[in-house]
Amino acid sequence: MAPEQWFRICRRGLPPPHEFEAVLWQGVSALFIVRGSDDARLGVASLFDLDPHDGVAWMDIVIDPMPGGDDLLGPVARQLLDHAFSRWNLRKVYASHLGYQAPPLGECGIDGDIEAHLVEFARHDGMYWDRFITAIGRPAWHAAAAVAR
Amino acid sequence: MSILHDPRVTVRPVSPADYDALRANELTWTFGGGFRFGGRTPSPDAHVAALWNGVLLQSVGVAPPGEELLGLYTCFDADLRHGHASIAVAAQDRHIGSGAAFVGLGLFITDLFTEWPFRKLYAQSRAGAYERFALGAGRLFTVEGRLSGHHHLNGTTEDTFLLTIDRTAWMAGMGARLRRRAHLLRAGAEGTARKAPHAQLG
Repeated sequence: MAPEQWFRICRRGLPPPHEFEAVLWQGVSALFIVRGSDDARLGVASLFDLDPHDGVAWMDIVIDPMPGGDDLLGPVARQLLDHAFSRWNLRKVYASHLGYQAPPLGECGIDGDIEAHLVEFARHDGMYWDRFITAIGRPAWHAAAAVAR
Repeated sequence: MSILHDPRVTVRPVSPADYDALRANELTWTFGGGFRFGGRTPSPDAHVAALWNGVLLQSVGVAPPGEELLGLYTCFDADLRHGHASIAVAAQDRHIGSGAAFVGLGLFITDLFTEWPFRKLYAQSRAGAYERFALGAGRLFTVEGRLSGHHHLNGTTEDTFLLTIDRTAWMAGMGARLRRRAHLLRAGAEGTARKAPHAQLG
């Protein structure tokens, strides 16, 4: 897994081995390993900071750097959102990405709205990068799921 | 963190003696109250644990001379690698109206930028609370996000604003004014009493 792609876990640097497991599960409601058709491990998808009071949660998807890896983002996001909206009474799920990271969900066929643009949020490779927060609402998700069916 | 003074408010670090008053007030204050708990009522022990969870600095604003509690100022989720942290404030409505709680917040922010190398401070505000200080947008802070219907309150939903306070802009504007004022107050205090009761900003 590329640490610079896994911002939730590695934002302050790669955690030491004895802390990694605790950081991995911190605030997590669902954690899935992404596997390919040959059962190879391709990445990790998680749902975290779920707030039942406000009916919101955050999602995080990291795919191993590899040719065609970005193409997996849409299908993995759809499965994770299916899980989130079908198992919890959530109104919104947020996804966050930095400018240097994989393409935003909107470019992966996920119908979301960019609701925040935090300028120069994180430092990577000698410069500051903006952070974008995309919101996927339950109504939009239901509509997209109905079309898919 | 220093103890910061203004004629209307003193900002000092939270002490265990404040816990009971903070728990009672945090759950009832309408401006930022309950932001840690989202409607839950924490036990006294859980409140103390939550009070310090992820906190870098935390101060109360009190009004002289009786030390009436005006508000709670918190800096948390500090990230020195990326150069930012988050802040939160909870305060009594009438002290928001008088400006004293905001002066205390200004002192707290100025001290943070003075003592720590943060580039930015982030804050969140429910739409209902944001209306109280929206005039500061573009001057004291920048609105970088608006999470539609994020917060559940009173049977409906409210938007949440994501705000950024930039170090350079703050220290050239409000921060510089507060520091000048603190120097003048200190000079005045030293000129009359020949002693400053506490550290001052700057």
